[in-house]
Amino acid sequence: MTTKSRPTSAAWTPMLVLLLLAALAVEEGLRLLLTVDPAAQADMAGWYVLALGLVLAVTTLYAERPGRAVSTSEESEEEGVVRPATPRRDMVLCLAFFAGYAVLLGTAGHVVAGCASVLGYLRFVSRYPWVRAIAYTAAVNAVLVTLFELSGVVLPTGLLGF
Amino acid sequence: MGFSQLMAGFGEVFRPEVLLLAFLGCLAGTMVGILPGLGPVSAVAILFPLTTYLGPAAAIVVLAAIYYGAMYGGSTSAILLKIPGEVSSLPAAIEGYPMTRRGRGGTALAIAAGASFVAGIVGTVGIVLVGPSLAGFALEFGPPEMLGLVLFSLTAIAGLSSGSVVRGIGMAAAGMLVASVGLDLTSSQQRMTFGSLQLMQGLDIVPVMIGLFGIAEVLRVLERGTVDARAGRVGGFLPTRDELRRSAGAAGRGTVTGFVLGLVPGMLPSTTTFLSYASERRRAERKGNSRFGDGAVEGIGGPEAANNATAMSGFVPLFSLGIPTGPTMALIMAALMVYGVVPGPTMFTSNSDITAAVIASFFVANVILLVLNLPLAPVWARVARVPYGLLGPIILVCCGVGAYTARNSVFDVFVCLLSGIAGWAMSKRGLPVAPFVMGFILGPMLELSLRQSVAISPVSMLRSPIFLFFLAAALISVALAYRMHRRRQVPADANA
Amino acid sequence: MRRAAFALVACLTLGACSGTAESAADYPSRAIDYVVPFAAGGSTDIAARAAADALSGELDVPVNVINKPGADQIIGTDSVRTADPDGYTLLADGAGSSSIQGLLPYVPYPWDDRTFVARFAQGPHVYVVGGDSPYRDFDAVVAAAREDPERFTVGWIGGSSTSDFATLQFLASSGIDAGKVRRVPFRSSGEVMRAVAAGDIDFGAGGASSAFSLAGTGKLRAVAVTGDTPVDELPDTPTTTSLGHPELDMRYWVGVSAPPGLPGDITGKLADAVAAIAEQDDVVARLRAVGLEPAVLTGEDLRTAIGREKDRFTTLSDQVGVAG
Repeated sequence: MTTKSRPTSAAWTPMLVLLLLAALAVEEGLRLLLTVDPAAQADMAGWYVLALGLVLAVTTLYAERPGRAVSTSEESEEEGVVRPATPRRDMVLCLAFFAGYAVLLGTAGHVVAGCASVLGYLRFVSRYPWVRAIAYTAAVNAVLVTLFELSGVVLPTGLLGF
Repeated sequence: MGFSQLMAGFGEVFRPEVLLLAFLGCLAGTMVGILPGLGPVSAVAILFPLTTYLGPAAAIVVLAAIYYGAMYGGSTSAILLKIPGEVSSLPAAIEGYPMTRRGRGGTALAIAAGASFVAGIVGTVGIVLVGPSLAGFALEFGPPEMLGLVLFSLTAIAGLSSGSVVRGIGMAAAGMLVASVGLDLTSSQQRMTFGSLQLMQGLDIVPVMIGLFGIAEVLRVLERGTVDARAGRVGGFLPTRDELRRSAGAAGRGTVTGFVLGLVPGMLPSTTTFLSYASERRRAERKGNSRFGDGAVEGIGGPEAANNATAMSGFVPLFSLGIPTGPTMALIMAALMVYGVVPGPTMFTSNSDITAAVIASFFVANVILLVLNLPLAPVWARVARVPYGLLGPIILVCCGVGAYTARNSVFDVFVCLLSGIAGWAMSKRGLPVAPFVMGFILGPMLELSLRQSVAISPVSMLRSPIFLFFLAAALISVALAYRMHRRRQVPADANA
Repeated sequence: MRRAAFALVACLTLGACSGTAESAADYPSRAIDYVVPFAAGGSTDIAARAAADALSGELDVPVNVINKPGADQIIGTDSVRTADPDGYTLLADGAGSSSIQGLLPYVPYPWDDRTFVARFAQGPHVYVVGGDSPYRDFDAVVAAAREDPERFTVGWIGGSSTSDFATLQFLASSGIDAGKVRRVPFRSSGEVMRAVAAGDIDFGAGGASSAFSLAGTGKLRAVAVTGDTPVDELPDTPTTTSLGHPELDMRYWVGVSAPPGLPGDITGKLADAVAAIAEQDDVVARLRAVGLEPAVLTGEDLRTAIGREKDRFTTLSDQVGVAG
């Protein structure tokens, strides 16, 4: 939807990201070829990324130009699809809760991380009322934590000891 | 190994406690595998410590049961939620999920279970009959041969991409580049790490893949909405006669190629499933009635069979030579070594009682899994009816756990997050993800076998007929893909 | 804030808090994490799991093995190094995560920045040639390598493993220029063994257990094990000492280390526990199964021994002109 209304910046992004990756590869390849002591046998390591970077650059320039690339994601409207009202906001929040999970996992432990991100998602992305969100959070985490315990998955416990 | 020994092995397995262990292993594997984001390799690694308390035969029985169980479970979450826990269940996600959306998820599950079962049983018989005589195959495959096979696999899979061949090659190169992040194995030089300690350990395929598919799928659903749960009927699980015929043929082909390629060290189920998927797709396109990408049953049956057959044939080099073909086999080898059982020719002589019991247990595990999964297919299919608002956060947490447990690293959870954004952007743009994943897996193998071949002798490749054969096959495959793409151009543009 | 409070309430329904502060006399009162800086399944991993099971019985708390592989063991080592020095985060230490790191230019911390608690096992390396190769024994390989080093191919695992230093030691003691032989890269000693057995390369070295399977098939010939103790699983293989090369004594070890600043009484308690389990029959059996022998060393002796090991690696690496 945004690709159609604002074609310029969004259409260039994939090409630019891929070209950036290619440029980094070429830089790393040249660095290994030119600056590393020959005794370290790093020349092959350099040639490898250099070649890949060039292949990526050429194919990207050929196939990903905005005018040429065919975006296949625009699907026809399907029967029974419920269109979300605020997709951008929901997606950003979803990513934020996942990032929060990652941060909390390493600091507060997996139970806190799981509870916080599931609750946040249920309340603010799925928009359940508080009571239902909390009830679902407790149930979901109880099941998941039990499953992980039973199957011997060792997850970080954090300061609280669980 | 004689017939009487094998029968004795069955006698060993049909004791209640061993059957119970096999059943529990299957169940545990299925449970872990069905969690979105967790697949067979993770399941075996997670559950491996538990098995070190059992005896050698029981440990292998349980590990194998977990492995197969997780493959069944992994296919289940791939088909129902489009979230594969392992690269090997990617084809099931690509072809099975459209079926789920049409209310035929139960059928897709049944086809996957049936194909896996057939491959598992044929594989078991294969181990017994041809195992010892084919074991030497693992030694025939030196670096030049491996290089040829990897080149062929890459071209076969890159040519498969839905967009264009050039795009497929580009994405494969991108995958290979991303996989090259970290310490270079040979020279210990840092590549693409830019001084970061975390990047020095490189990127693991598991969190990358979970992000590209799992997180990206959640994002796509949030963006586009889901089919209303009540609109799609779960339906029965019996395939139609036509579906049965098409998937059975594909399963048969997948079994054979999966088994033979699985004898080669380094040939993981993830590669053989994709080769099977590529060949089935090409076959269907040649006939001109391809439904690939929109729920083709051949795309489920073939790869699922190849997956299980490869898992089976990996035991041949392990048992006869002590050569593990991949990380899962390395774990199983470790479990044996802990008990002082050294995998090798003695597995078929002085330790043949263990081997017979283990092989019998493969048979039993496959039967248990079929019995467990066929009736459960309609039950599992109901998972698709859980509102996505509730399913979303569960998937998210499972993806986080799956990403973390791959290397016990919080960094990998962030990798998973970034891969999720990348996966969403790629599908938005129509960039093919499959060649990226295969580049990620095959890239390091390509580089290693290339550098080994050159280090042994720069001309070693030219002296290897197997390498030359694969090189020719790779060139033919590129040419075919190009021609097929041109022929497809006109109708493809019409409905792209 | 409100959300965080809710989350906390929800979590408290699932489990009770356990105590956090304690005195050394109570140690250990909760589960210990034992970090293995390798992927599951290798011989260090198996030894660490055997030790973890036994330690769990000895100390009466769970001991969880956690694999943190990658980046030449730097990730796993660093995660322990930066953990709280309370004895609940331990490292399955070895040469690859200590002395060898002293040689690597990209290790971002001082290589010995930790509390070495105890070593409990060590094992020899094995030198192998192909079963169909023309070299029948140790001296034949040496002669061939001396004659034409530029055509001599050896297995190489990135230069940061004891197996590679066993190879370097072999080359140095035979007077072969390691810069001239062809080093063929592999990911693990298991893959080196496969390549040697297949005749892809001439010579390889690895931890003794990596050769058990293929040596049994006759496709791989183990020409010597390092040190002076024969290995049961390789019955026909002479030791380097019996061959007249006692200087070829490269061994790998597995031990327990902790973050720097671990209190002395906890260190002592842990070291005693490790020393005790190394004598238990089932631990010894599990160690032997992967080619290791119990070999306890603790305290300053251990630190000195590892320091000496590092100096030897440095000398070897300089001598042959191989960069890390």
